[in-house]
Amino acid sequence: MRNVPGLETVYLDYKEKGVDFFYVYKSLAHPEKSGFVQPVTLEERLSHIEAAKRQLGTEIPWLADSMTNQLKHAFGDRNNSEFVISPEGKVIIARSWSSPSQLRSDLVELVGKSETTTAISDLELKISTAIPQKPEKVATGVIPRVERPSGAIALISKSIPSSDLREAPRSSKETDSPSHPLYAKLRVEATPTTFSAGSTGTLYLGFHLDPIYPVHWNNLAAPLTFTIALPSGVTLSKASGTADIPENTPADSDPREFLLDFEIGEEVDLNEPLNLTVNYFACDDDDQWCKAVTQVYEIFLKTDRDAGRVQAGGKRTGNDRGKGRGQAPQGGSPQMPSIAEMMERMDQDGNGIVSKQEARGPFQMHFDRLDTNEDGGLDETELKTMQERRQQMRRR
Amino acid sequence: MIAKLFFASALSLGLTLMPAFSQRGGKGSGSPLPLQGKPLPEVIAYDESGAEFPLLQKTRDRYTVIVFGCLT
Repeated sequence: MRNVPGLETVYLDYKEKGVDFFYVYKSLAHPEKSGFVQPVTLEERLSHIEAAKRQLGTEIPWLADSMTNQLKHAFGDRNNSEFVISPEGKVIIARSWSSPSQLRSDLVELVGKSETTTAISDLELKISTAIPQKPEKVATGVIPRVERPSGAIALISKSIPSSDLREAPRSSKETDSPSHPLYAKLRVEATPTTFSAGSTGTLYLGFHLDPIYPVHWNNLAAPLTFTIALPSGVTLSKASGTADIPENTPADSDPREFLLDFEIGEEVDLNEPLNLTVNYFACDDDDQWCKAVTQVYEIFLKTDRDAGRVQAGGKRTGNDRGKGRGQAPQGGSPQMPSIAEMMERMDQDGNGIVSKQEARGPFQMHFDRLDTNEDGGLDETELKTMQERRQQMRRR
Repeated sequence: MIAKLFFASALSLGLTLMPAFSQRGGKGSGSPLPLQGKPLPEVIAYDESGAEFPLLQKTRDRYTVIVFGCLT
């Protein structure tokens, strides 16, 4: 969320005039950024809110969207949209991207000028780390990332209780809570993006440890394995798999990823799910327990409109076959870093914004000029605009 | 070399670019959103404690600002 400081200033000035403010925590726009993965229960979404409050230092109260994403759908499925609701319950202002300065102008018109005008520099945002660092013993970056096929889209996958979990009491809230958390969460992507009789493509399976749980893979035990029971008419290049174990690494938190080829036959019911079972050994970071975990998922060959889009880091390539694991993504000019690469180099806290402190070289030197919306950070759009300008100059 | 290119390019981003940048302020206008000008629907959110928060009921009788976001 890029506009938090500006919004907080408007909040401080207008709460005294009787205006209520709420952030709505929605499904993740860019899962895997900073390691975060989509929550599957309301409790997990509430944990994300706690992490967001720590990371952003917000005072505006938060609401959680329902796990069916009611609010996101009703309000138009935007990542950072902004609305003003009248006392009569009518949506009188709807903005697809939050703009604190425009919001302030709106409120001047609606309720009058505020008695104070707080500046971002006046704020004392108590910002801290969203998620505690993993202990040193838990390695990262030891298993090369799989290069996902370019243009892949996320598919709907639902966790379901495995046979032994069915006996456990279920949550009273509107969740599909298993009896223990999904320490590792499955993300499924596929290309092509439409499924019909006779189509073939690639399926990506990623098992990502959820950073809200202090848990790591136990590499001293058996590696993660999965099996998939297929509906009639669907075939896979392999219906089971075993993850690699990194050498000399007893504990790590890297995702376990797989690419599978699939083929859809002439007679297939696309409403029939693929049933995936995954087994792995997990340990908590405080060495209090290690246990075998079984999770069961239904995977549907349907687009998940709430799954978000993975940005750089979840590696993608336009030439998805024959590269194997661990190779750097190809494409683009070798002399000019991509926006994602620039962002990765400078965005140290992984919030998608390059702050003045994070900016380097000319980005820092000309920061104020490049920060066109004056929100105190450079986003992808601002970096892209700069890069396009450079490319134009090079062509001249 | 790349650093030099960055530097030279950034230097060339003079004030002549500013009008184009400032037009990005229109980002917020975007394409129409479905609820623009319409009554708030009966939707249920949850407050930070996990309690149900019926939006229409809870926002009655005062102006309310709602901003969507997430950690990523």
